[in-house]
Amino acid sequence: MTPRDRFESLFAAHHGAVRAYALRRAAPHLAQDAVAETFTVAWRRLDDVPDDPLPWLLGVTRRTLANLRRGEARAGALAERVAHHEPATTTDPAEAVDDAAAIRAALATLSESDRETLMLVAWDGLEPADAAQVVGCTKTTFNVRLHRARRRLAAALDAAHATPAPTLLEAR
Amino acid sequence: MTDDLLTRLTAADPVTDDADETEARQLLERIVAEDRDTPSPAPRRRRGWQRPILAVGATAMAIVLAIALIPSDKDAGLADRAYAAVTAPKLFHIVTRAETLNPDLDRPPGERSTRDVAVMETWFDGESKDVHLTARDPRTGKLLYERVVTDGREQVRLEDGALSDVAEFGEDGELRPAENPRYDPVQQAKDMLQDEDAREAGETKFEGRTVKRLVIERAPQKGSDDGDLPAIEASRGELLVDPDTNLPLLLREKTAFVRDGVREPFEVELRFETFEQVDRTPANLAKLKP
Repeated sequence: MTPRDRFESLFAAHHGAVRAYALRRAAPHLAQDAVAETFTVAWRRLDDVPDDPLPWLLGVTRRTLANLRRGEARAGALAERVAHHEPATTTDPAEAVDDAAAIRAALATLSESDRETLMLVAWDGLEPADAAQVVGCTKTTFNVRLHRARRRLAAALDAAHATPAPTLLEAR
Repeated sequence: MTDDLLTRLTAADPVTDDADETEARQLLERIVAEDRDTPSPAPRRRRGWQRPILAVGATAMAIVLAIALIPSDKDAGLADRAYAAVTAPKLFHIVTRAETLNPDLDRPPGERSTRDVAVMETWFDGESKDVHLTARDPRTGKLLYERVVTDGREQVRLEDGALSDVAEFGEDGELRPAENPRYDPVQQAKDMLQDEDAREAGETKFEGRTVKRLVIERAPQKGSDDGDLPAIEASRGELLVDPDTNLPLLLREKTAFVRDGVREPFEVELRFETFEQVDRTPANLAKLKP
């Protein structure tokens, strides 16, 4: 397999996941730039890309987004992202809309570390071992963080039920 | 509605799989048209030992900021008290005597570590996050290292060299220090306390008296992609706090640098000689500048 064949295979398999990762965390123009930069790095460093490439790719995307976010508050970017997307549909659309909006609003109140931990698992679909690679910690540490982040998300949801819920933009 | 929180969160994913295939194909073609050997813009190199100094300095300030706020509300949690620092209008003035075992992985075996002593003086603005840190030889007063974060730039000076921009914040496009949570000691304190990487751990004896003790654990850090900066193993340390004033007394931390199979220990001990919050007078604000 030539380097180009290998890269095209890598791109086809993971472009969607990298794009979705970036879009969940940044405005579209930044996400687009981050995706392009991530795969450019992968092309130049193809020999360094591991056999299980997704955590490596997402790690590059994560660092690239940090570079690109000059002047943009991460919490604000997240709130902006979740505020401008339609929620996923389920068997009960009305209930799902309410629940999705509530859970995204609660997510927006958490720390950046908690949000990233939860999103890597729930939205990016990574196993804890892979998610740990993305953020640069051990699997054990990540599992502890995930446990705590879940607890804090639950608390944020409870608090939202106990008090009038702010809008997502207010949550910024 | 399912009761499982992560399942509910998964269902709330705002991103749908609607990628533009044409756009993706164009991106792929554009990338593979590039020569794979085209080098990335080379970052300005930072000497390896600067990284631990920066990291330890930031960690120390982060925890110090949190602890300094303990008297403000005895009923609040550590993280809550750290949050209060965000709006602290004061300047922080911190002087420590630092003893470090500094590894230099570029040197031959047997010469890779030096034990250094320095007096580190830090001025930190809780509002702007500006920092001015100097490290000097305690015997001669000679400047060993200077770090300045102000006006959206981070600059360092090594010994008698000129102040120079740190590469990541210049042409390489990384988030500038004043906007970068990684370089915000208050944000670091919040994250460490929330993640319980820093937590109260009872009391211990220090110089003949009983003091408060905090345990600090930090996750390992990857090295830089270009291999210039080594990886740092997970570290464990402790911060001792005066039980009467709640001000910091001592910070110890141990870890190791690893690069290309070479591992060298890194240790630091900071004794706090001064920790004070001072008014924002013109004279004090001038201390933030080089």
